[in-house]
Amino acid sequence: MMAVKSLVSMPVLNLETEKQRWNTIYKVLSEPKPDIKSTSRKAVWKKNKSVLWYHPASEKKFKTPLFLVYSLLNKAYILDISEEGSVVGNLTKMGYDVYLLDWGSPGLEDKDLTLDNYLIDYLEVAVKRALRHSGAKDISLVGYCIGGMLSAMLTSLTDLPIKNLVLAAVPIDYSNAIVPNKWVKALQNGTLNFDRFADAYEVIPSEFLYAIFMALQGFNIGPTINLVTRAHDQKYVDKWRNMDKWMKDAVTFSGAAFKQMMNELYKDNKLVKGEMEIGGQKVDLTKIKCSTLVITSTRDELVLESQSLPIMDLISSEDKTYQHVEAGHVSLCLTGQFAFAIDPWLSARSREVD
Amino acid sequence: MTENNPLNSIKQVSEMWEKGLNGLLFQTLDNNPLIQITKVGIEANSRYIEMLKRNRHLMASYMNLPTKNDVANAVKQTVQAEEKIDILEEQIWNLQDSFAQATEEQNKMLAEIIEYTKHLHFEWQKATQELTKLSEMQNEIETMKKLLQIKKEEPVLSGK
Repeated sequence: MMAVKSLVSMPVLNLETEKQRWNTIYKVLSEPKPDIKSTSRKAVWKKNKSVLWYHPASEKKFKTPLFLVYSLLNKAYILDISEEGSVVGNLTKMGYDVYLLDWGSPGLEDKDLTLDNYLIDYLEVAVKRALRHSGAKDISLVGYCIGGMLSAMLTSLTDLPIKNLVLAAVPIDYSNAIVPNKWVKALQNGTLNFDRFADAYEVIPSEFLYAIFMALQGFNIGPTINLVTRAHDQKYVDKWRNMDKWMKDAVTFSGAAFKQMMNELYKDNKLVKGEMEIGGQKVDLTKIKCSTLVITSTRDELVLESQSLPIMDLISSEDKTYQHVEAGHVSLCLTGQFAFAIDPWLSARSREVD
Repeated sequence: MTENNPLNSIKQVSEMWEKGLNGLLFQTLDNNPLIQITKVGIEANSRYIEMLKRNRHLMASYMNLPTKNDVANAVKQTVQAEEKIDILEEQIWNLQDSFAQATEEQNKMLAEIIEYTKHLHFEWQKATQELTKLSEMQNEIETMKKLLQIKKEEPVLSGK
């Protein structure tokens, strides 16, 4: 092994490691994106572009299955990004049967899909299907980001037996956001309005959503520096490549739902005020009575803690827990840490196998 | 990350720079003229897309070509068919559940009938046994009657 030791307090330079590092970086830059290997799964129900995946537990310990709902604005496979270390992979190892709803990426034919459609025609039906497929008496609903908001809305509207509700990085209060104050105000007073834009495009292009996510992160050289720093660690590089693929694999979004989000949530903040209507019914979060866990993360770069916290006061659940974990918005899912964060709470509230 | 990683210091410096630059960017972006420019940009872009769409439709209709909208409308029919199949499937579930419930209730009723028949059978057997006993008693009474009659017919000794 060749090594050059510094005279002052310079770190040791290992030529073998350096060779491996720059070789890996060259490969990452030149090779195609990796294939994502998911946890063992079966499609239980399909509708339009949506698929309900069933991931059976490795060794079933709980009768109450989990239903994962991810954001509409990103692809759901971040939760199942690898067989080892993904959220779904960890949960199945812990003994839960997991159902994951993949919303799919809408096409022009889906331009009129609203949040009402996503909730009633997709999410509620999918939960019904999962209940039927599992044969369980009740189910735990786990929502992430916008998926958490939809899960909370569904729980307040439906008669389905939802035993536990977990909401992570969930935006409920839109009176503030991660963007500068003047921009929030411009959205609220209608100076910035995306109606014409949404009508013109009909379906919001994935490039636009990708650009928004990139803009929200500002200067984001951290991931690239991390790759260079740890390029000799193959396990880290594999994870990094998966994350990189997911970040750039943006989805399209229905124009009608985009308009509804911009006007009813960002502009009028109707959800937190109890004025939002879904399918002609008022969404009243006080109707949530099941056990609820709300999780926020310390380094969340997309959803502020103050956007999630109001739900703790709005719901009527007697059994409600708030957890603030050390993670970022994406890293909480990417590292599979999310599974460990919810397991102690969920296992105590799920029916065990006899 | 190993302790001897020569890039550790670069990472630390980059983190500091990133944080600083993001703070600066946040402050710089927080101004109304930029919002106005964005607004104008969005409007201009929307108008441009609308114009493109109009021209695309015009060209397609002149050339008698199907547009993406036509394809989307055809796909909508498929989605509707999917929804109908889902509804049918749910109705079949309901029927299955109703049948299962009806069969369960039928089984319950049959079990009750069987129980009742068993009870009847038991009662019948009891009655038969009692009847046999009664017949025996009747026979005994008959025998006793006969014996009594014989006693009556016995000659009475009388002195002459």
